[in-house]
Amino acid sequence: MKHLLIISLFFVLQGKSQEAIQWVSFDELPAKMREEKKPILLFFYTDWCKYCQLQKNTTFQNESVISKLNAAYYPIKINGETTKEIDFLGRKYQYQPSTKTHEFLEQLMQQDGKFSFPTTTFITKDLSMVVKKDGYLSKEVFLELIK
Amino acid sequence: MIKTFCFLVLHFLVFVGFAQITYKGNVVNEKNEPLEFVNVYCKQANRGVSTDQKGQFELDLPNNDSLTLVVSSIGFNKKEISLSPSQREVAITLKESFGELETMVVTGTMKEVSKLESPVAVEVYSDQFFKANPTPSVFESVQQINGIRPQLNCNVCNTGDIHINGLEGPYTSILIDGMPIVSGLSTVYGLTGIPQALIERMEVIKGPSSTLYGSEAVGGVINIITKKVSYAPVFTANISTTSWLETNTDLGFKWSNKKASTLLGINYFKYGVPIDNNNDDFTDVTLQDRISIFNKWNFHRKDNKLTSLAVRYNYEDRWGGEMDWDKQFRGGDSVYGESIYTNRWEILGVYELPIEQSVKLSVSANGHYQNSVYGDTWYLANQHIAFGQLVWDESFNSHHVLSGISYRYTQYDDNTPATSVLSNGTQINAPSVIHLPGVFVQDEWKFNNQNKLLSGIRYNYNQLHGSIWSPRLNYKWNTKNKYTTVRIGVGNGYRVVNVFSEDHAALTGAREVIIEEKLMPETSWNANLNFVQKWSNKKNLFLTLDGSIYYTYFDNRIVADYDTDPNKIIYGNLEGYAESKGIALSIDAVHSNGLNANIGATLQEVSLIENGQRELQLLTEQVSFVWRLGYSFKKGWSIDYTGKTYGPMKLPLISDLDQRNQYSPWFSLQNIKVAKAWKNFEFYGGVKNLLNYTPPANSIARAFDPFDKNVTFDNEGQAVATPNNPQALTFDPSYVFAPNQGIRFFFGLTYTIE
Repeated sequence: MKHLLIISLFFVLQGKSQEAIQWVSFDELPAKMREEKKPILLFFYTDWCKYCQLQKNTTFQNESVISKLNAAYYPIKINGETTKEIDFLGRKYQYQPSTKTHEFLEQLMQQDGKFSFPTTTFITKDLSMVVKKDGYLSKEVFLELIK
Repeated sequence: MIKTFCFLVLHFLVFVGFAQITYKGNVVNEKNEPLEFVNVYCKQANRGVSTDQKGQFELDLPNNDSLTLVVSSIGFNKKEISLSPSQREVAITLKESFGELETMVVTGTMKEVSKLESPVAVEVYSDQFFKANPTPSVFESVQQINGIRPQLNCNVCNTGDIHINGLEGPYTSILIDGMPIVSGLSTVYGLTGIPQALIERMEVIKGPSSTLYGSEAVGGVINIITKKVSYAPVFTANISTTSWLETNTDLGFKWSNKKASTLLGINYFKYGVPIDNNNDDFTDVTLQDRISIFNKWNFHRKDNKLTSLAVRYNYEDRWGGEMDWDKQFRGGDSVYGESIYTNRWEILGVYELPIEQSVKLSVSANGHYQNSVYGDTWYLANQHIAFGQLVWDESFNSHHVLSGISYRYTQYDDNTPATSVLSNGTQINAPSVIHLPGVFVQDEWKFNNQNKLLSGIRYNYNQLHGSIWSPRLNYKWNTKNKYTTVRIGVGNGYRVVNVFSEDHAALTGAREVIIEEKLMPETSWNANLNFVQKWSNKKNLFLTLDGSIYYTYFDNRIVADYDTDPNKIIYGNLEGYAESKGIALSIDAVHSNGLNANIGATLQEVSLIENGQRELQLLTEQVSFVWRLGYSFKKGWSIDYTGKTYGPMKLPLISDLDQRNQYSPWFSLQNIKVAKAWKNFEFYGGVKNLLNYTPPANSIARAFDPFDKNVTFDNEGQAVATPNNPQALTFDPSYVFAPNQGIRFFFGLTYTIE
């Protein structure tokens, strides 16, 4: 009986550890991709954008979304206001003060000249296809997309 | 035997027909560095592989002459090479790509394009905010911001200014891309005509802001940020009209090549059908005809530094008055009309010096020419302003220091006594010329991700009033997750008043203007506290709560005394002090189902305390509520309900016998807008002033006798109560607290090519 209690406690604690998305940093990504190739998810946000906050607080708090993302993707979040250099899989992207835009956002967030927050970008594991989706994504829509 | 034969044939076939060739290669970038994770794919064989850490790959492909290899990686231009079995080792160089990556794109709703992070409490209003209640100009659109009131100063000519937290227009500094453009004449006359197609967002700071903006912005700063060229659409056109036939057209263009990029905006607004719904024989709303052009250029430099140049031109012809007024009556005393022609040009330029440090030179110049007449009183004025600022931007350790020098030249000339002097017994014209050099330094000290201190000081030298010191201090604290933020700010303000360009009442009516003594500058101290709290239920709702408390103490204010002598306006320095204090609260909510709401309230009191007596400032509400509810449906439909409710305001009465109400009633201006986005179009329409509220019909005193021809005056020049003038009034259009426009419909469409 005591063993059962301990075992069930163990499972409960395991379940609890699934509570947050394990965001991957740009530095960690190459090593992880070498070990196991998984599709990449880029989430572009700003501190100020309400819909970004909504997606962070609702969609990204949902258990199914969290478990699916942690298991099947490498999720990376990018603050759209960053002026730092981004090194994404060997290519370095710079912030351009003359136009006040960042090259990384230009390539992987921009849609037909539009820059809007939030934007969620999906990249296949062989890096062959990129899909960008702008606007708030509810958990239902999101779960459909990551299938 | 057959078995062996088959075995051999099979092996032969495998060896010849299905023979594989191993291709080896390596991929590098233009700097000859190996590229990992590059996708090397053969279309014909439908097989691919990724390069390893050394940039090398190995791919087994059929023995075939017509194979092509597609080499691709994110951030690089794709390369296609033909393979031949005789060359099994390939070396590939990939070039970095720029601009948008070719991808699949799915557009959504519920998004924003605005950004900011600052120790000063700045409210950001993106284009989404203004779309909820479309208006033809910046002047009207700021109405929907908590604590801001666009005030009309005149029932007849509808000139207005923007009040922030109860302080009048001249205390509001209006900037375009951080450059102080609007001042003096244009505070009152130049607010319309900024093409909305080119506005990316508006940043509003209530209270003292950074030392960058100078010492006059005591009430607040409205910074109109124009679109970044890369974020602007290639072409946009917006046309709208109302049931009063107020027609607005906005056009925006973008063009760029390797060397330069440009943004052009054209705005044309016309309201040409006079309407008199309150039957006072005066136009209800001023007729307007205006065109505005804005052109911004960005030059691309090898060192990636900034060079930008912008020009703006604005021409407006507006008139209001008796319904049968015509241009022929301009300046005469038979039919009353107020007619204003405004011509204004501006140049703004920013140049980042080609040195290692970040040093930016900003220059601007503007000319404002006004030809106006109020009944038979002429006001001709022109103003030229040249401004230059050199700012050095340096960061070290956790400090971000901005320092610089600035210089402003203001030349002002008009046909009033303000710009004339007595010389040898005659009045000669003496235009006012003011040089204002200054120095400032500001440090933003980031202790850690949670604490930031902004301290700054600005020094200006005014040739009439001497040295002016303006210190500023702003502190920001936030929790680690940035869900709670507290900001405290303290600073002072300093302003030199120009009575004629700022106070419209000085020009109209039959009052004589007396300037009692040498008018001293207005000096003030301000403190404000701001609190922001974000919260989510983790399922479908995100809330932001924003609260502020502010207090401004004026050492001196220039007050206009209308009461001592109804035939005169006496300007003098305040013998006492003035206060502006208030509380503002707002809640912003977004729900995943597409509903978003913003509700705000401001409680304020602006008063003058002279000889121990407290008097409320005229035409300033003590309570106001503002709200916006929006809902996005599927298939591009959306609905927005906006509104503002004002509490009573003390109004200017003419005499003790004036029968009009001393206080305005509670009133509310509400609007509904419905929109449908379809392909490159957006159609919208709705109702403005849903409750059809209009001010009382007797707002213009003695509208039937605008030249006071039938008013009897006593020996002191005061109006006397006579049978045809029982309330001892004179013609006066300054009793105005709300726009005189009832319910009306509006329609519009926007076409955009991104």
